[in-house]
Amino acid sequence: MCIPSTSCYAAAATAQVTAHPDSPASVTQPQTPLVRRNHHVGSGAWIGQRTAAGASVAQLYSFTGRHEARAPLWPNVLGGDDATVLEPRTLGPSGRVVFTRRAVAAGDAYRARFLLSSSHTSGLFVGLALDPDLGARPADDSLGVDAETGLIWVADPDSGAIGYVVTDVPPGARVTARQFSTKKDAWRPDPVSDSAAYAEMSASDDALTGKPGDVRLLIAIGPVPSRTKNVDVGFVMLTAPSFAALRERATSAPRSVLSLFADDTLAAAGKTGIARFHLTQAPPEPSAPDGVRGIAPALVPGLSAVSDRQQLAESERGALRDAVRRYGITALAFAVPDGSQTAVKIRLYDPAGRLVRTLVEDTYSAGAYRVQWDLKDQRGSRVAPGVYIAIMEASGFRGMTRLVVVP
Amino acid sequence: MKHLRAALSALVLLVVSVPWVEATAQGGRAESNFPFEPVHAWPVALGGAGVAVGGEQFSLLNPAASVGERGAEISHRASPIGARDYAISAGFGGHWGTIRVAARRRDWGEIARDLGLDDLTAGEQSVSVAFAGPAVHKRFLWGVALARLDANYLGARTGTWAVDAGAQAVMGRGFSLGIALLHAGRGFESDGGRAPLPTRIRPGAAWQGRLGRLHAAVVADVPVPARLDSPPDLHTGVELRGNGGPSAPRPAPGIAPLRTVTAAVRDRVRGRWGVASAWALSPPTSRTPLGQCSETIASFP
Repeated sequence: MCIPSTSCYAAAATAQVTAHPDSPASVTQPQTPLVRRNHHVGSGAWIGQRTAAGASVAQLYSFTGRHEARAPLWPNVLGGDDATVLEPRTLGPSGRVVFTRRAVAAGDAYRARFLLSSSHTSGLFVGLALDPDLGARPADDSLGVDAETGLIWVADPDSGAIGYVVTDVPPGARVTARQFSTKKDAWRPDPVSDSAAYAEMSASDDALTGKPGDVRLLIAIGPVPSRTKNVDVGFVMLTAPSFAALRERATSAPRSVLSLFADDTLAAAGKTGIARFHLTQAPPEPSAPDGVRGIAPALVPGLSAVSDRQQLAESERGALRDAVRRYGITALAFAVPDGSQTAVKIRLYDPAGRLVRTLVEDTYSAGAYRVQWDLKDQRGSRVAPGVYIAIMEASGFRGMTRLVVVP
Repeated sequence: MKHLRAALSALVLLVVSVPWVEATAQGGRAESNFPFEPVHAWPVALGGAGVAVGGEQFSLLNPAASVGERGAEISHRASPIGARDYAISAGFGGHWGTIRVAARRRDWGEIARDLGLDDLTAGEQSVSVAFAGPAVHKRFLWGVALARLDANYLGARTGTWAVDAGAQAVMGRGFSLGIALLHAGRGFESDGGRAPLPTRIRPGAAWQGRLGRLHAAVVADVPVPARLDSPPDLHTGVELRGNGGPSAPRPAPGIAPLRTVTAAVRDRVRGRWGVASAWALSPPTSRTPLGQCSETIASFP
């Protein structure tokens, strides 16, 4: 049984746009409302390091009780509060884990990015808590790893298939996934040789194991070269009604959200031992009082791949660059928060401040939306090439981005 | 009689410009937003008005404003919308008139960075040559300018030519009139046809004088779209300041005062007010300002 989400979380959406610039201006609303399933997104990030000596976990801890003020409702599925947080004795300077969940217009693709900072990165474990009762019934869940798509998935009859696509794995690192629980019979280690580490972990500290029956997904990434100071690991979380649909989504949806995270930053790495990571939610517009997260340019049609600057293959970068040059930047993505209806107005201005077009002026329910500008002004004339300013106003929020119409 | 000549000359100038106006009236495209606005804080602080005001700072509003203005000017302005404007101009001349060469660029920086591409930029630049001269006992000033306009948006380039022509008449008692035909040309070529330039017929008036110990100026322009497809704009500005300022009488050689003008400007895009500041420094050996700079130095809700 899944716990309905009560979290009020709106995600700024920057998504792929499929409309052609010549098509009429339109706002695309997800066909189905966004379903926020916080219960299957772990608030606890477990960062562990496996020592070179053997299969043991040197440190493993969670910061589940240390929520940022912006995310007071994030569920603590690890079952802990501040008192349950295990403070490692060998902490280096604080690092930071940015956990960002943003929705694309399809409504059910998210990406969580964990930026890991450590001076010893021979092996890192990232634990993601799943459905709190996942595994309570022996037969209701199953874990799988699809090497072809990089998809780590869990099938849950209540919530459908849930998957994580690991997107930014350090070169040379191996990714494995395990599902475990306080119930010994729920262990599903893979490969078997690593099971001792998790058994030790589970038995040694109740604070880490959470509630009886909790099942967590542990993703091991490594080995990472020891000289690596910063390891950038990205996940895209997906939901779909079936594994087949999940797999299909894994091959397309994640790529459309990768560019969202190009500006995430990471504090300095720890000098020794394991760096301390802080789990936060980092909406792109933290100053928004009502949860409206902002406005962003969207991509042009014909793109199938966008990725981090660091990880983007040159061929993909070239394709993206060519497409942006060809079509310009003529689409917008915006999001509105959970809760009541929000009046949203998006206006386009020329650089001199003259109103060109009121692109959006309506009331929207929570969700992520996209709008494609048809390159017409208020009078229906096609606008000239140039840079235009889009300003979004909603519930006291004011955000700005720039669009480019190419010759 | 002299005033009548000035008015007739301005009329002739407009008649000669009709072919350019008609050329820009073709097509159903919205006008280009190429940066033609003044960069310098002084005309900015006057609400963009100044077609009847003399001085190189107003040469973008009327090429006749350059008459007698020799020297160099460098301007820079940072915009809260992420653009930076740079302008440089130099004037040479004598009793026969003034030639002014100017270059300008608006740089949008890495405008596709939000999409993960940090190597795509946008910007517009122009290079212009203007000639301005006096007539009718220096009470009538005229000028023409030819500009090459180029734009680069995400690597896609386009360009065109533009012509400005204008005249100013000094009416006495501080009053002056001005009229200009600005940004006449064929427009920018693009996929959807030519995007016309924002051609304007721009008449205006100005008064500059003294109110006690203060210098005062009242300026108004009414730019009329050449295509007559939208109502005219109205730019007005009032200046009130003490001694000094860019419009103050030039200092005698050997004196190097630092002259500044600061004014509030309205940023219509962000709905905020800002402060524009301009300064001019005259070196001891020159009768003209060496350099002038303008910048929006602050903005506030």
